[in-house]
Amino acid sequence: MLENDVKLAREAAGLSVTDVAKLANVPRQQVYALEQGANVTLDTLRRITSVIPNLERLTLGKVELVTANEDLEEARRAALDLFDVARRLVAALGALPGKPASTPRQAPPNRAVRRGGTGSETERRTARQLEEMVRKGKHKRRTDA
Amino acid sequence: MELRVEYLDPFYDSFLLLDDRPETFHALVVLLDDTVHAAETVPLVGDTDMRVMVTDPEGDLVLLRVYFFIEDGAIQIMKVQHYRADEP
Repeated sequence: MLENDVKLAREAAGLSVTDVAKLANVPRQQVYALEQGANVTLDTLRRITSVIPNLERLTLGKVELVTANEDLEEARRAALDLFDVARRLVAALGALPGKPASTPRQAPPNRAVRRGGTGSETERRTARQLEEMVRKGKHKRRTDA
Repeated sequence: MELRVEYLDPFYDSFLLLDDRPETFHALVVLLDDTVHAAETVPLVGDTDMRVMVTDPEGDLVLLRVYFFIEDGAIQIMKVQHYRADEP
């Protein structure tokens, strides 16, 4: 069913309802409505389905729709390229701005970054969801550093 | 032991959800840099194999959180996201 397709794909992508709503530029309630089988406009459906990266098919009654995420795929490729360039720059420079260029580090204390996170329930819940994705093998590798 | 770094699909998906301010990108680079250097010393989250690093909520960087785990001799970068210091 349509609502199940959307919810399963969203969860598999590790996206929250809020994430999808923000990306699709629709009210969060519309995402909930769609996932609960309520009526939404075609425009809302199009917006939501276009931002869920692994939502490739929708079952609408007896009709199966193949969604087109070409724009999103293009954006993903662009982001991937940009990120690779940035990583290579950092590697080539040997350090980040303001940090010593040649000092090898072994997990030094750094007041800008905290190890272990915030300890919030939100954080723990997300960790469990991500682990579930890994357990189900829904985290295919894209590149090596 | 030197660990490789692998960026997984969910990371790239989550990367696209970050805001596009230069400060965010700078925070991300700092966070990932520290993550790969400190990965093995980072505690697990609850009873999962996931580990988390965050930019310090009391620091000057944009608040970001990265989830990763260590497997097969590699740091597997799983997800990055904004977070709120007052989140539940």
